[in-house]
Amino acid sequence: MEYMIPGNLVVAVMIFAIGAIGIMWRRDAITIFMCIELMFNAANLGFITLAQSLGKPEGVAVFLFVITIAAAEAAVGLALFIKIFDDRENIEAEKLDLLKR
Amino acid sequence: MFLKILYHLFVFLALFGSLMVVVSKKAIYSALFLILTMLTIASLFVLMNAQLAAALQVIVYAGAIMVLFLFVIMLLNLGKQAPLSRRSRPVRWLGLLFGVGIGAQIIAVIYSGFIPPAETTAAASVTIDHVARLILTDYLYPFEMISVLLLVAVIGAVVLARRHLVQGVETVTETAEKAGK
Repeated sequence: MEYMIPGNLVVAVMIFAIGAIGIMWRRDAITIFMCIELMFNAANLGFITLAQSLGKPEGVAVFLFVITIAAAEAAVGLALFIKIFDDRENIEAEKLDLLKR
Repeated sequence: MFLKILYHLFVFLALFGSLMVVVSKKAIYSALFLILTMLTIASLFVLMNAQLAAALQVIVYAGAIMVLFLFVIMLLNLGKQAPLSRRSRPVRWLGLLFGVGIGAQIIAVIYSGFIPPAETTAAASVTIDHVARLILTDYLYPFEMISVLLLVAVIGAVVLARRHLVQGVETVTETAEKAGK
Protein backbone atom coordinates (compact mmCIF):
# COMPACT_ATOMS: atom_id res chain seq x y z
CA MET A 1 0.00 0.00 0.00
CA GLU A 2 2.73 2.49 0.88
CA TYR A 3 4.50 2.22 -2.45
CA MET A 4 1.25 3.01 -4.26
CA ILE A 5 0.84 6.55 -2.93
CA PRO A 6 3.70 8.40 -4.64
CA GLY A 7 3.45 5.92 -7.50
CA ASN A 8 -0.21 6.67 -8.13
CA LEU A 9 0.36 10.41 -7.92
CA VAL A 10 3.14 10.18 -10.50
CA VAL A 11 0.92 8.06 -12.76
CA ALA A 12 -1.86 10.64 -12.39
CA VAL A 13 0.51 13.44 -13.36
CA MET A 14 1.76 11.51 -16.37
CA ILE A 15 -1.78 10.81 -17.61
CA PHE A 16 -2.65 14.48 -17.07
CA ALA A 17 0.38 15.58 -19.09
CA ILE A 18 -0.45 13.12 -21.89
CA GLY A 19 -3.97 14.54 -22.00
CA ALA A 20 -2.67 18.12 -22.11
CA ILE A 21 -0.28 17.25 -24.94
CA GLY A 22 -3.10 15.49 -26.79
CA ILE A 23 -5.30 18.58 -26.68
CA MET A 24 -2.63 20.58 -28.49
CA TRP A 25 -1.53 17.72 -30.76
CA ARG A 26 -4.86 16.59 -32.19
CA ARG A 27 -7.09 18.31 -34.70
CA ASP A 28 -10.50 16.70 -34.51
CA ALA A 29 -12.73 18.01 -31.78
CA ILE A 30 -13.94 14.64 -30.51
CA THR A 31 -10.40 13.38 -29.75
CA ILE A 32 -9.63 16.68 -28.03
CA PHE A 33 -12.72 16.01 -25.93
CA MET A 34 -11.46 12.52 -25.07
CA CYS A 35 -8.15 14.04 -23.98
CA ILE A 36 -10.10 16.30 -21.61
CA GLU A 37 -11.78 13.20 -20.16
CA LEU A 38 -8.30 11.72 -19.73
CA MET A 39 -7.30 14.78 -17.68
CA PHE A 40 -10.45 14.44 -15.56
CA ASN A 41 -9.49 10.83 -14.89
CA ALA A 42 -5.97 11.81 -13.86
CA ALA A 43 -7.34 14.37 -11.40
CA ASN A 44 -9.73 11.74 -10.00
CA LEU A 45 -6.87 9.30 -9.50
CA GLY A 46 -5.00 11.95 -7.53
CA PHE A 47 -8.03 12.76 -5.38
CA ILE A 48 -8.78 9.12 -4.56
CA THR A 49 -5.12 8.32 -3.82
CA LEU A 50 -4.86 11.15 -1.31
CA ALA A 51 -8.29 10.39 0.18
CA GLN A 52 -7.32 6.78 0.82
CA SER A 53 -3.81 7.50 2.07
CA LEU A 54 -4.87 10.28 4.46
CA GLY A 55 -8.14 8.56 5.44
CA LYS A 56 -10.29 11.54 4.49
CA PRO A 57 -13.69 10.98 2.78
CA GLU A 58 -13.64 14.52 1.31
CA GLY A 59 -11.55 13.28 -1.59
CA VAL A 60 -14.20 10.75 -2.56
CA ALA A 61 -16.90 13.45 -2.32
CA VAL A 62 -14.91 15.64 -4.73
CA PHE A 63 -14.53 12.60 -6.99
CA LEU A 64 -18.33 12.36 -7.09
CA PHE A 65 -18.65 16.01 -8.07
CA VAL A 66 -15.98 15.74 -10.76
CA ILE A 67 -17.63 12.68 -12.30
CA THR A 68 -20.99 14.49 -12.40
CA ILE A 69 -19.48 17.55 -14.08
CA ALA A 70 -17.75 15.29 -16.60
CA ALA A 71 -21.08 13.65 -17.43
CA ALA A 72 -22.82 17.01 -17.87
CA GLU A 73 -19.98 18.30 -20.03
CA ALA A 74 -20.00 15.19 -22.21
CA ALA A 75 -23.75 15.47 -22.79
CA VAL A 76 -23.65 19.13 -23.83
CA GLY A 77 -20.40 18.84 -25.80
CA LEU A 78 -21.48 15.84 -27.83
CA ALA A 79 -24.82 17.51 -28.61
CA LEU A 80 -22.83 20.49 -29.91
CA PHE A 81 -20.68 18.17 -32.05
CA ILE A 82 -23.77 16.62 -33.63
CA LYS A 83 -25.04 20.10 -34.45
CA ILE A 84 -21.69 21.25 -35.90
CA PHE A 85 -21.44 18.05 -37.96
CA ASP A 86 -24.92 18.69 -39.38
CA ASP A 87 -23.74 22.11 -40.40
CA ARG A 88 -20.37 21.42 -42.02
CA GLU A 89 -19.75 17.66 -42.35
CA ASN A 90 -16.63 17.58 -40.16
CA ILE A 91 -15.66 18.55 -36.65
CA GLU A 92 -12.10 19.78 -37.11
CA ALA A 93 -11.38 22.23 -34.35
CA GLU A 94 -9.27 24.55 -36.49
CA LYS A 95 -12.06 25.14 -39.00
CA LEU A 96 -14.45 26.37 -36.31
CA ASP A 97 -13.47 30.01 -36.75
CA LEU A 98 -16.84 31.67 -37.29
CA LEU A 99 -16.38 33.94 -34.27
CA LYS A 100 -12.93 35.05 -35.49
CA ARG A 101 -14.28 36.63 -38.68
CA MET B 1 4.25 -9.64 -3.98
CA PHE B 2 1.40 -10.73 -6.24
CA LEU B 3 -0.33 -7.40 -5.60
CA LYS B 4 2.83 -5.55 -6.51
CA ILE B 5 3.08 -7.31 -9.87
CA LEU B 6 -0.62 -6.61 -10.49
CA TYR B 7 -0.13 -2.96 -9.54
CA HIS B 8 2.73 -2.50 -12.00
CA LEU B 9 0.71 -4.22 -14.72
CA PHE B 10 -2.19 -1.81 -14.18
CA VAL B 11 0.13 1.20 -14.14
CA PHE B 12 1.65 0.08 -17.43
CA LEU B 13 -1.79 -0.48 -18.98
CA ALA B 14 -3.06 2.92 -17.82
CA LEU B 15 -0.08 4.76 -19.30
CA PHE B 16 -0.16 2.69 -22.50
CA GLY B 17 -3.89 3.29 -22.92
CA SER B 18 -3.67 7.03 -22.38
CA LEU B 19 -0.78 7.29 -24.83
CA MET B 20 -2.73 5.35 -27.44
CA VAL B 21 -5.73 7.69 -26.99
CA VAL B 22 -3.55 10.53 -28.26
CA VAL B 23 -1.68 8.56 -30.94
CA SER B 24 -4.47 6.46 -32.52
CA LYS B 25 -5.44 7.49 -36.04
CA LYS B 26 -9.14 6.68 -35.82
CA ALA B 27 -11.47 8.26 -33.29
CA ILE B 28 -13.09 4.93 -32.45
CA TYR B 29 -9.73 3.40 -31.45
CA SER B 30 -9.09 6.43 -29.24
CA ALA B 31 -12.43 5.85 -27.53
CA LEU B 32 -11.72 2.13 -26.96
CA PHE B 33 -8.27 2.89 -25.52
CA LEU B 34 -9.88 5.52 -23.30
CA ILE B 35 -12.20 2.79 -21.95
CA LEU B 36 -9.11 0.63 -21.27
CA THR B 37 -7.51 3.50 -19.37
CA MET B 38 -10.63 4.11 -17.29
CA LEU B 39 -10.97 0.42 -16.41
CA THR B 40 -7.32 0.17 -15.33
CA ILE B 41 -7.74 3.31 -13.21
CA ALA B 42 -10.76 1.58 -11.61
CA SER B 43 -8.47 -1.40 -10.89
CA LEU B 44 -6.00 0.96 -9.22
CA PHE B 45 -8.89 2.23 -7.06
CA VAL B 46 -9.68 -1.35 -6.03
CA LEU B 47 -6.03 -1.96 -5.10
CA MET B 48 -6.26 1.13 -2.87
CA ASN B 49 -9.44 -0.19 -1.18
CA ALA B 50 -11.61 2.51 -2.76
CA GLN B 51 -14.44 0.23 -3.85
CA LEU B 52 -17.07 2.97 -4.14
CA ALA B 53 -14.88 5.03 -6.45
CA ALA B 54 -14.04 1.96 -8.53
CA ALA B 55 -17.71 1.03 -8.96
CA LEU B 56 -18.63 4.59 -9.93
CA GLN B 57 -15.70 4.76 -12.35
CA VAL B 58 -16.83 1.60 -14.12
CA ILE B 59 -20.56 2.39 -14.13
CA VAL B 60 -20.55 6.13 -14.84
CA TYR B 61 -17.32 6.70 -16.77
CA ALA B 62 -16.60 3.48 -18.64
CA GLY B 63 -20.30 2.72 -18.90
CA ALA B 64 -22.43 5.81 -19.41
CA ILE B 65 -20.06 8.52 -20.65
CA MET B 66 -18.06 6.32 -23.00
CA VAL B 67 -21.21 4.76 -24.47
CA LEU B 68 -22.27 8.32 -25.28
CA PHE B 69 -18.90 8.95 -26.95
CA LEU B 70 -19.03 5.74 -28.99
CA PHE B 71 -22.61 6.43 -29.96
CA VAL B 72 -21.75 9.89 -31.28
CA ILE B 73 -18.66 8.61 -33.14
CA MET B 74 -20.76 5.95 -34.86
CA LEU B 75 -23.63 8.35 -35.51
CA LEU B 76 -21.32 10.85 -37.21
CA ASN B 77 -19.46 8.02 -39.00
CA LEU B 78 -16.04 9.42 -38.08
CA GLY B 79 -14.19 6.49 -39.63
CA LYS B 80 -11.17 7.81 -41.46
CA GLN B 81 -11.06 11.53 -40.90
CA ALA B 82 -9.08 11.87 -37.70
CA PRO B 83 -5.46 12.51 -38.71
CA LEU B 84 -2.89 14.08 -36.41
CA SER B 85 -2.65 17.82 -36.32
CA ARG B 86 -1.69 19.73 -39.42
CA ARG B 87 -0.79 22.70 -37.25
CA SER B 88 2.48 24.48 -37.77
CA ARG B 89 5.35 22.57 -36.20
CA PRO B 90 6.39 25.20 -33.61
CA VAL B 91 2.92 25.09 -32.03
CA ARG B 92 3.02 21.29 -31.71
CA TRP B 93 6.46 21.23 -30.17
CA LEU B 94 5.48 24.07 -27.86
CA GLY B 95 2.54 21.94 -26.77
CA LEU B 96 4.80 18.96 -26.11
CA LEU B 97 7.18 21.18 -24.15
CA PHE B 98 4.26 22.57 -22.13
CA GLY B 99 2.94 19.08 -21.31
CA VAL B 100 6.30 17.68 -20.27
CA GLY B 101 7.08 20.82 -18.32
CA ILE B 102 3.85 20.79 -16.32
CA GLY B 103 4.32 17.07 -15.61
CA ALA B 104 7.88 17.55 -14.40
CA GLN B 105 6.84 20.44 -12.18
CA ILE B 106 4.06 18.50 -10.45
CA ILE B 107 6.30 15.45 -9.97
CA ALA B 108 8.91 17.73 -8.42
CA VAL B 109 6.26 19.04 -6.01
CA ILE B 110 5.21 15.48 -5.09
CA TYR B 111 8.77 14.49 -4.17
CA SER B 112 9.56 17.76 -2.38
CA GLY B 113 7.80 16.54 0.78
CA PHE B 114 4.76 18.76 0.26
CA ILE B 115 2.43 15.79 0.69
CA PRO B 116 2.42 14.38 4.24
CA PRO B 117 3.58 10.78 4.59
CA ALA B 118 0.89 8.13 4.57
CA GLU B 119 -0.48 7.00 7.89
CA THR B 120 -0.57 3.34 8.79
CA THR B 121 -2.81 1.36 6.48
CA ALA B 122 -5.26 0.50 9.27
CA ALA B 123 -6.35 4.13 9.61
CA ALA B 124 -6.52 4.68 5.90
CA SER B 125 -9.83 3.21 4.94
CA VAL B 126 -12.62 5.38 3.60
CA THR B 127 -15.86 3.47 3.13
CA ILE B 128 -19.17 4.36 1.51
CA ASP B 129 -20.51 5.04 5.01
CA HIS B 130 -18.16 8.00 5.57
CA VAL B 131 -18.74 9.41 2.10
CA ALA B 132 -22.53 9.18 2.38
CA ARG B 133 -22.50 10.94 5.75
CA LEU B 134 -20.27 13.67 4.34
CA ILE B 135 -22.23 14.46 1.18
CA LEU B 136 -25.56 14.49 3.03
CA THR B 137 -24.34 16.81 5.81
CA ASP B 138 -21.38 19.09 5.07
CA TYR B 139 -21.57 18.91 1.28
CA LEU B 140 -25.37 18.88 1.02
CA TYR B 141 -25.58 22.25 -0.77
CA PRO B 142 -22.97 21.41 -3.46
CA PHE B 143 -24.63 18.01 -3.84
CA GLU B 144 -28.01 19.59 -4.60
CA MET B 145 -26.42 22.16 -6.90
CA ILE B 146 -24.66 19.44 -8.89
CA SER B 147 -28.00 17.67 -9.32
CA VAL B 148 -29.49 20.86 -10.77
CA LEU B 149 -26.43 21.22 -13.03
CA LEU B 150 -26.95 17.70 -14.37
CA LEU B 151 -30.64 18.41 -15.05
CA VAL B 152 -29.79 21.64 -16.87
CA ALA B 153 -27.14 19.84 -18.94
CA VAL B 154 -29.58 17.11 -19.97
CA ILE B 155 -32.22 19.65 -21.02
CA GLY B 156 -29.57 21.67 -22.85
CA ALA B 157 -28.32 18.60 -24.71
CA VAL B 158 -31.85 17.71 -25.84
CA VAL B 159 -32.52 21.27 -27.02
CA LEU B 160 -29.16 21.49 -28.83
CA ALA B 161 -29.17 18.13 -30.58
CA ARG B 162 -32.65 17.97 -32.03
CA ARG B 163 -32.63 18.00 -35.82
CA HIS B 164 -34.62 20.59 -37.74
CA LEU B 165 -37.76 20.23 -35.71
CA VAL B 166 -38.63 23.85 -36.32
CA GLN B 167 -39.37 24.79 -39.93
CA GLY B 168 -37.62 27.84 -41.25
CA VAL B 169 -34.71 27.84 -38.80
CA GLU B 170 -31.46 28.27 -40.71
CA THR B 171 -28.04 26.87 -39.82
CA VAL B 172 -25.18 28.96 -38.53
CA THR B 173 -23.35 28.87 -41.87
CA GLU B 174 -26.41 30.06 -43.75
CA THR B 175 -26.79 32.96 -41.38
CA ALA B 176 -23.13 33.88 -41.84
CA GLU B 177 -23.40 33.64 -45.62
CA LYS B 178 -26.42 35.92 -45.64
CA ALA B 179 -24.64 38.39 -43.42
CA GLY B 180 -21.63 38.29 -45.74
CA LYS B 181 -23.67 39.09 -48.88
